[in-house]
Amino acid sequence: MNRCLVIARKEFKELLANRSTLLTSLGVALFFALVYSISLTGEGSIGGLIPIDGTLFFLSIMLGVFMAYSLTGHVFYKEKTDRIIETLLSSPATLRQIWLGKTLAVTLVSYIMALLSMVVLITVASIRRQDLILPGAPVVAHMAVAVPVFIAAFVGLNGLAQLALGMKENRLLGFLIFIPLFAGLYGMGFSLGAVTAITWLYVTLVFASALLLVGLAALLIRYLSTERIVTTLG
Amino acid sequence: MITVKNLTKKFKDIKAVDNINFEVYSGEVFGCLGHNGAGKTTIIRLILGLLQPTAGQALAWGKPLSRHPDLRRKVGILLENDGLYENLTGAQNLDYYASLYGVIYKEKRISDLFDFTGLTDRRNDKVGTYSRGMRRKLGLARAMLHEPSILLLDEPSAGLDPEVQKMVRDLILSLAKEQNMLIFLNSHDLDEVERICDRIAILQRGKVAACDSLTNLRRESSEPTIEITLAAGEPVTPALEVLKTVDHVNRIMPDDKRITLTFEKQTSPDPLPALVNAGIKVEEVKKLNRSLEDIYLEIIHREENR
Repeated sequence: MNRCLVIARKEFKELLANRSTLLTSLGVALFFALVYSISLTGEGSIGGLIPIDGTLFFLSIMLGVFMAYSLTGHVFYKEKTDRIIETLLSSPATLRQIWLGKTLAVTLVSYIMALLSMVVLITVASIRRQDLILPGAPVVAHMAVAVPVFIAAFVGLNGLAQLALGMKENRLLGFLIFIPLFAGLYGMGFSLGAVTAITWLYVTLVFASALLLVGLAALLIRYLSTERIVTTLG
Repeated sequence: MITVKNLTKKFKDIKAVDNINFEVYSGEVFGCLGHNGAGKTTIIRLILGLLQPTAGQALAWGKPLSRHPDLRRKVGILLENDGLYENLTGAQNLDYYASLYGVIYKEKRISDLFDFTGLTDRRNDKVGTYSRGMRRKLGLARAMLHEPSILLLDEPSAGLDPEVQKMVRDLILSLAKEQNMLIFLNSHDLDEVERICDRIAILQRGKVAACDSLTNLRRESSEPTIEITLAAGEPVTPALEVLKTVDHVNRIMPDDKRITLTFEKQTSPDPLPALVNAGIKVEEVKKLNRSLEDIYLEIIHREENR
């Protein structure tokens, strides 16, 4: 098996074995899914099919990135603090394979949990409205294609930064990402009313920017050296 | 084979490794000794290609490992960290590394290593539940999993109980002598190094203060020492007077019925004829081998005073 996939499979297994982190992250995701599903059907709610499209469009990315934020540290940063990364870097796997394998694993787990949250949101909203609410085709395409690529871009860039930065800088970075992410998840509900429709243009724009970010991460990994990682172990 | 040629590594203005040279060959156990910060771990990292030299080269089979990742397939490592994942079981850990190194028939190899380390009963337990000694043993099994030609070990028996330490020492010797493996190890444990290493490099502030076999280090760096036990009832004072006349004597240290003599370096003294000619009865003359600890401290102090 390709070394990149070997690493991805191991990280996937380890993430699933780390139940406390997984359940906490999933709990947060389901909390937001439930909050938004209730606001969609409650008194004075946004109502209708367009708002659920807007909700799914933003929330799928936000929750996917939030999951990825929670899990990236366990896969990249923890390997540095535990110093296991030195053993891995001394194996026949290249730095690029290591980075890619880890990025794939975190992306997959985060994406599955984000999708699960969206299913919960749709199910609860449908039960409350006593009517099956289904998202439009652009939103389905967005969740199937753009969301995983966007999550991969975030994981790739965040993982790269965690490998390159020292311990103190990493803690600061985590803080800097967490605040806007959490604020965005809370604040999103207030701006959803302004969203009229999710068109293919929106979906294309998100997908294109996600692809650009993935390309940027793939480019930046070329400039990361094993020496940089080893000398920032602390 | 490992070749270290004019190797220097600087971190900002600090020279962690300063123009060192040595070669290590297959079937040899080579030990690096030195205080914390002497540069031992930096040398291993340079050989592995994790760090780039500021000057000089660190090569395995004539090539830098940093530019030849596939050559790393033939190198096993055990650093201070065991390289194991706490949330995975022992078997999952070995399976992961076996896949990374492309081990053929990995199930059999993993089972053999569990049997060898005596951890078969714990193979399906998470490594997080293992004791320090069990982790070190599994770490060693991980390092040997792909049957490497070179094994780089950083403090291999640190934190292990004496029984496991002996197991590790026996294993290292059998790998080198029976499988012709090259073993490079860093250690603080002078006793361990003395027992298993064919050659030793003593590091001081990033420089090699001495590099040779223990026999040669003893011969070159230390003063020959002899312990004389006088026969029962034989007075010490006349013997001391005779010994003062023996050539190349540096120090005479009497202690009840025993007299310890140290001689000038690189001399082969024999004080027995002088004592016998003077009619002094001697029970035993014993040549004392100085321990590696004595030699190490002498070399380190000599370098510090330079």
